[in-house]
Amino acid sequence: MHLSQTVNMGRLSGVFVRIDLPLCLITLLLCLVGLAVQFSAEGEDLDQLVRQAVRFGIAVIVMLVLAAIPTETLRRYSPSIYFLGLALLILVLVTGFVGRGAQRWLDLGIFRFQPSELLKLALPMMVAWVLTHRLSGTNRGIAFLICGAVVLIPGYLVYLQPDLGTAILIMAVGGFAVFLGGLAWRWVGILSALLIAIIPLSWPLLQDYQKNRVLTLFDPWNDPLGSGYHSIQSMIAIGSGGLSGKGWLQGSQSQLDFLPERSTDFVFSVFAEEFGFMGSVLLILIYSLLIIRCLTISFQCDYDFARIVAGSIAIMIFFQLFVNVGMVSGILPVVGLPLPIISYGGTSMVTVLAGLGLVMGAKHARRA
Amino acid sequence: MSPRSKANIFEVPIEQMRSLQFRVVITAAVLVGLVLVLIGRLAYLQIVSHQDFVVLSTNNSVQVVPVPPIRGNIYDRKGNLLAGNETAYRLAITAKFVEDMDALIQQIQEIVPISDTDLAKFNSSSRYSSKHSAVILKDYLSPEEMAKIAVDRHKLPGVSIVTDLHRVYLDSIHSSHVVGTLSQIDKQDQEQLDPVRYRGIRYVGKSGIEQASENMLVGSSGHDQIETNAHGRKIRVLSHVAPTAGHDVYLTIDGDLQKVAYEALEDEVGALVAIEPSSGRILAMVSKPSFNANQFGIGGEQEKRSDLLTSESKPLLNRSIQGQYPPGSTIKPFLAFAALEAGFESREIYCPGWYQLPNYSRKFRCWKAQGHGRVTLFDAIAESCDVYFYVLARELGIDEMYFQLSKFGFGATTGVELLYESPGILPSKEWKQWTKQEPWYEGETLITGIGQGATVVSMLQLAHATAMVASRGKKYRPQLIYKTVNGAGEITIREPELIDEIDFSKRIFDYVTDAMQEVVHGERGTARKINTDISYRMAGKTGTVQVISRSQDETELDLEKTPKKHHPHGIFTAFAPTDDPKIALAVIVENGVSGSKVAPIARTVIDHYLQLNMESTQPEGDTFAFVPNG
Repeated sequence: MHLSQTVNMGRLSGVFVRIDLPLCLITLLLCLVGLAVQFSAEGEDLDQLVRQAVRFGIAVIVMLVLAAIPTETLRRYSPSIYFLGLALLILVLVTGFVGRGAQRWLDLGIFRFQPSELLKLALPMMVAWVLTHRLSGTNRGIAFLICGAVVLIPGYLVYLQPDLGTAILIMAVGGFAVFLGGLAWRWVGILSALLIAIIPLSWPLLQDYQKNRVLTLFDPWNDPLGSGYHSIQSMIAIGSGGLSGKGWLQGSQSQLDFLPERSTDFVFSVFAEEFGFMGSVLLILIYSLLIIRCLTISFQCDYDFARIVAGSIAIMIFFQLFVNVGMVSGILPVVGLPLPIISYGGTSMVTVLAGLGLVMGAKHARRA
Repeated sequence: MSPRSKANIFEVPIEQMRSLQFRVVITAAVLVGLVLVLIGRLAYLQIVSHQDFVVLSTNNSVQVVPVPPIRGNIYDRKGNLLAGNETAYRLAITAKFVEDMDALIQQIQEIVPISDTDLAKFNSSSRYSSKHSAVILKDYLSPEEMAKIAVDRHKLPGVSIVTDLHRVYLDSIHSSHVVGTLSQIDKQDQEQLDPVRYRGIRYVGKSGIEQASENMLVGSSGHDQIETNAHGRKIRVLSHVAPTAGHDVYLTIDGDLQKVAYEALEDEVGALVAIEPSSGRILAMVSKPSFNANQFGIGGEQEKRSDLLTSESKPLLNRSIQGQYPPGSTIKPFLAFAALEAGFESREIYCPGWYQLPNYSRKFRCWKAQGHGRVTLFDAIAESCDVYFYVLARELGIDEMYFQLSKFGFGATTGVELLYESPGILPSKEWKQWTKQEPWYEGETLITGIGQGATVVSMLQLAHATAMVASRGKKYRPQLIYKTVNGAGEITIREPELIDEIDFSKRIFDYVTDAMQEVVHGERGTARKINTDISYRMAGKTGTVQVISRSQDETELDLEKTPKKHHPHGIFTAFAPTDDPKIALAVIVENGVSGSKVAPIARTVIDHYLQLNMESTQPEGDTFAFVPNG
């Protein structure tokens, strides 16, 4: 890496040695795409654009800092970070209860902090910690049972907030970490079967409007101005974009206020309307490059902890991409998961880039 | 930990390594498959069905504009309005049409005053909203301000007046805890609310009945279909789906009684709950200090709101359901039931002023230092003899006490409609093992017998249990909602719900009722001071709860020298008239010195209620004129 050699003299050289150029470039590219779409979705508002760019800057700093911390150090602190995250989750639930009403934020004065975001990263780290623990080598069964608790407890707490979307996301990421950690194929099979069996059973537990969201998926035209409205408007936006799109700032669906949540959850629809099928596929391919890069790093790791963490973060990003695009294109129910890096807002961006920081660190992880 | 095992941590056998790497490859393959699904879906939408969607898009000139419903009113049982809606005019700015925001605000400020809080709110919310949307600069314009803005409207591009209904609380202080408050729907609320039903609705119930009956009060949003031109400008309204107004809710609360009770508590900190024993309907539920619901809810000023939140006396806490207090001697009548079942009717006990367990150095004192002498169970209730109940508790044992007291609902929520009701604590051996991992001590049995120690109750629980004595064992679910009326005027009465009936013999009920009557009417009753000029028979029980522990020898607390916060709490429970109970209540005054000092509050409230009941028959909701919503 010539970059590292040029700045090797500085004290910060550790940081640069540890960055992964392909990941950085892809991230930057996605951010630029995001800013361009935001500009269109937000009615050409420069202020919004500047704020989003500032958020990106902050997120990049978080990414570089995390990349600079040796993975072994992170491994040692994994339980502390995880239990801190759990404690904060309980704290928001309790303050939410006392403050009468749901709560998932902790107000830290300067900014608000969402403990469930911390868990998106802390959970796979904790799973990796358990599975790479010295005692786990001889007690695989117990280690996997502990992992089950490590995944399910925060999942349930987040579900209580209530935030079903994020709960599913962190449980999926945690579950995947367990898979990467070497859960026997037999158990992978049994658990997958169980999961598939549980889905129909959970139907009566859903709220009416949640049921509606699922039913809408199968027949959005049943109630085009009611529950189907978001879905239909989004599909019209994407479909009318055609092969090459209507052009930047030219999407009529997006510009004329038909599309809800244009800059956050439905930002992909704006992109697809304006840049068409070719643009959408290109964007998905860019994401795929990002995810494949993460998986490659995971594959090349000779350090199990780093492998599990890097792989899980790849899945976290992919899961959000898949659910978000699936939702706006009408193959998944409407749940509020943002499009990584591109959706407006700082919290999700910081988490994703922090995750990428961990992946970069993992790339250079050596056995301690 | 040999070096070898340490090396094993990281040196995974090569086969396992391969297999874990293999999993990454498998994952990649699955992801590629899923990406293909997404691309396939996009191809279907953007290539296969492209033409259909183009047609839809060009015809897509119909926008849906939500029309929020009118929130249901809240009335007391006689139909006095407690919470209603009022049209509010608000000043809004759409940033898109404004060239110089600062100049515009300057200009507006010359016409109507804009406070710094308003400005700060505007700045923060405009930061998070799109340029196209109208952001509120000032809430609640007066008619004069409206007129001034209307005249100068053409000079103020981007300025608009938004009409909106806002919530007003007419009885803004006496029943604030029961009626509750609303708050602006935030991102967290959104996740839980049906987005279609709540389209265009900005507020949601956050406490009291506003929260508990949200589902009934809110109604359901309607919408207008609006045809727009190619630039998105409105041409005409195509269709209108009317919103469904929320149901009006009539409380079981008697607004006048509520006010009388509120005022009887004066400036003390405390709570009072009054229940109709024959139905479980709650006649009054007061918590003091209270707050002005109009100040706390929407439109309230931020500073006042945070004052309420941080105030040491916790005015937002509904003490009647969330305040947990040791019941003190008010527990005695309930224990008397257990005693009578165990054959204590003919049992006399000598009270020297204290009691001592064998092998215990501690003396358990009676509140009357010189002792009550020989007392029966009847005297022990009327004069509140502690020694009698120490002996009783010791002989019954904690298991039996737990069993008998839980029949009256102690240690469990009553099931009233409000959220966040405290269950209190009814201690038992299991409870202690579970919470403290310690065995139960006999001394704890004794103090449980006089309602001290770990036992805590809410005033609702205490009033509820007292109502069960009054109704001879009928356990009705306490209710705050009397009836609801939907938009079409259809009335749904909430019938009393009998959850349980406890079976003590008539003789036992008579005995306890007579003893409680003796508390008020007897020569040595602890609440005899309130029986002057009383025209009916009242049953009652005093309770005095120490808030600081005192040394063994010190017998009397010198009130003059003690700060108010160390004065004992005074509790009083009562029902009347004893032959046909119409009202049962429990009242606490924090640091109110003693139960006897608090008893006059109960007299005032019951006097008022019975007098009222004699003048007019039971007020039925159907007899007064129905005031349509909105």
